Amino acid sequence: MANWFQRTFLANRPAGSRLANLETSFNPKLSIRKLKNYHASATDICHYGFLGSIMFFSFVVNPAPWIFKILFYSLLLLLFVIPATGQFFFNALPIFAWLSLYFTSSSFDASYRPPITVKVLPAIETILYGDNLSDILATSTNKPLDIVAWLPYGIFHFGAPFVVAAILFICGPPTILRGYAFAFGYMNLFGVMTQNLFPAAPPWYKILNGLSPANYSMHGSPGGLGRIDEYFGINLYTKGFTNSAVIFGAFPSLHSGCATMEALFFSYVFPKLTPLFVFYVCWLWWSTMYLTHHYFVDLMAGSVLSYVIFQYTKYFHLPLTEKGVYSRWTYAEIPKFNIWQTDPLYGARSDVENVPLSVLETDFELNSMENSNNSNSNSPSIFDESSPRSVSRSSLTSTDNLEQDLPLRTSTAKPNKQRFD
Amino acid sequence: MQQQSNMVHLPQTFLSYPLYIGVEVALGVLTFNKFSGMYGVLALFTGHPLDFVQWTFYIWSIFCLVVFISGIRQVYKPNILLMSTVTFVFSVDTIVSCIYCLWFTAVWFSQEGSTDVTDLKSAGTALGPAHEGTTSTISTKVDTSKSASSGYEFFLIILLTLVPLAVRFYFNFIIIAFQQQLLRSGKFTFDQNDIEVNLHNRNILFKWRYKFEKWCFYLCKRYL
Repeated sequence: MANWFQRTFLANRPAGSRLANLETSFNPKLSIRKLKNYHASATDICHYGFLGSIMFFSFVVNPAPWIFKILFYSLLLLLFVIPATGQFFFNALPIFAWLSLYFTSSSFDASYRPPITVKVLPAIETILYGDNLSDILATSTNKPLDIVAWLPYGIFHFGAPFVVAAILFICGPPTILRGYAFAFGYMNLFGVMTQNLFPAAPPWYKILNGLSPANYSMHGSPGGLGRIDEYFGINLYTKGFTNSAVIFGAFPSLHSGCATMEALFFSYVFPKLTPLFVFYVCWLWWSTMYLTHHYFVDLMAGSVLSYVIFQYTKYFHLPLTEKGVYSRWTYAEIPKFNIWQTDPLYGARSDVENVPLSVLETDFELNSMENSNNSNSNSPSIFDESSPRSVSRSSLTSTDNLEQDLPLRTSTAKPNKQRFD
Repeated sequence: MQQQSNMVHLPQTFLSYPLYIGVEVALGVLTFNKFSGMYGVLALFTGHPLDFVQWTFYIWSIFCLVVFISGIRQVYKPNILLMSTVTFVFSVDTIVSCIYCLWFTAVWFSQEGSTDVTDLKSAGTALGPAHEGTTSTISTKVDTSKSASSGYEFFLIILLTLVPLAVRFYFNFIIIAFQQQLLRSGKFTFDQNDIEVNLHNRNILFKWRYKFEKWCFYLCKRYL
C-alpha cells in the first residue's frame, strides 16, 4: 500500500519541495504570532466580517442552552488556533457559517418570517420552461426508478462532499481544498439565506394540497422518498423531512448546487472526465424532480449560484492545475489565474501583426488584378512608357508598387462579394 | 471599404473584467437552462401530454444546448467560425425565448383562471396549475396569516420572469461585443480558401454545419 502510494503520488516530487507539506505544530503561539503580523485587505474585512456576523447571529438566536453554545464555539476557536487543525478548520469557515445558520433556521419565529409562496415556482417554471418538468418526470413511477432516483438524492449527496474534498486534496494542486471550502460554503450559505428570505413550497406540496395557501405549522413531506422508506421498512426520510429545518426551502435547490459544485471542481482537476460529472449532475437533477422535491427552476437557481461562485473562485482563489498531473506532491509552484493574460484577445491590439482588420482591406478577390484591366491597365503593355500609371514587369513585385496598387485594387473590389470554393 | 459597424455602444468589459469571463458565465448559465429540453423530451417515456408548442420549445432547447456546449469549450481559444455560430444562435434564442415566454405566460394565466377540476392522482396537467379545484377545502381551516397574498405572488412571478430576461439581454450584448472584438482583432481570421477543409469526403451533417457556420460568420462580419 505504502509502496503503491509512493509510486503513484510521490514519484515525481520535486527535490526539496515543501509546497505540499502540512503544518504539524500544535503550538497555538504560532497562530497568534501570525495573527499579530496580519494585515487585512478590504476583501478580507468583508469576508470575515460577513461570516463572523452570521456566526454571531446563530450564536445568539439558536435555542440550544447557552452552556452548549459557548462550549461549541470555544471548541471551534481552539481548533482554529492550533496550527495543525487550523489549516483545515479555519479555511472551512464559510462551511461552519452555513451549518450554523442552517441548524438555526428551524427555530426562527413564524412572525418574523416572510410569507410562503405557493404559486410562484410552478408559474415561473411554466413561463420559462414550458411546463412543470417535475410533473413530467413524476407522472409515472415504479420501483426500479425509485431506487435509481434515491441513490444520488438520498445517499451520494451526503457523502459526496467529503469524498470530493479528499480526492481534491490528494490529486489537486496544493491549496485547492481551501478554494473548494470557500466556494462550497458560500454557495450553501447564500442558498440557505435565500431559502429563508423567499420561502416557497416544493412540488410535493402542490401534489398534496394543490395551490392552497401554506403556513409554518405545516410539516414537511419526504415526497417520493417516502416510497423508499416503505421498501426498506424504515422511517429515515419520512422522519427527517417531516421535521426538516427548512420545510419551504424549495428555492434554490442545494442538492443541485452541491452536485454542480462537486462536478465543477472535479472537471477542473480531471478535465477528461467532464462528461461523467455532467452525467452525475443530470442524474441528480432528474431524481430531485422525480422525487417531487424541487422544480426545475430551483435546480437552475442552485446550479447557477454554484457556477457563478465557482467562476469567481477559479479566477481569484484557485491554483492553476498542470495538465496530466494528478498528485499534490508533484507541484513545484502554485500559479494563480492571470485573468488579463488568459484573455484570448490579450495583446491583440498592441501587436503589430494584429492590426485591426477594418484598417486593412480584406475582402478583395484573389484575381482582382486580372479584373482590374478594364479601365486603367497596370499590366505591362507596349505603351508602358507613355502611360503614367503603368509599371514595368520587373517592378511589379516590388513593395513600393504594391502600395501604389492598393487603392486601385480597393476601387475595383466588389464589396461583400465572396468566393466560395 | 468594409462597412463600419453601427453597434458602437456594446459593453467593452464584463463588470470591469475581460469579456471572455462574461462569455463563459453567459454560456454556462444558458447551458444549464437548456438542459430543460432533455427533461421535457422525457415526456415521451412518462406519458405526460405535451402540446405542439412545448415540443418545438424542447427541441429548440436541445439544439441550443449542443451549440452552447461546443461554444463554452472554446472560450479561451476561440474559433471564429464557431463563435459566430454561437453568437447567432444565442441572439436568435434571446428573441425566441421572449416569444415562448409570452406564450407560456398567457397559457399559465388563462389556465389559472379556469375552474376545471383535474384528476388528483396525476402529478399535474399538461399545462398550468395542477390542482386548481382543491383550494377551498383546506384554506378555510388553516392559518393563512403567513401565506403569500395573490398580489405578492403575482408580483414575484412577474419579477422572477423579467429579471432572468433582463440578465439574458445583458449576456447577449456581452457575447455580441466579444464576437465584435474577435472580428476586429486580426488574431482570429478565417481563410475561406482553406484547402484543408475538403467537404467532398465529409458526411452531409458536417457539410451543413460548415455552411451554416460560414453563413453565420459573414452575417456577423456584415453587422458587427
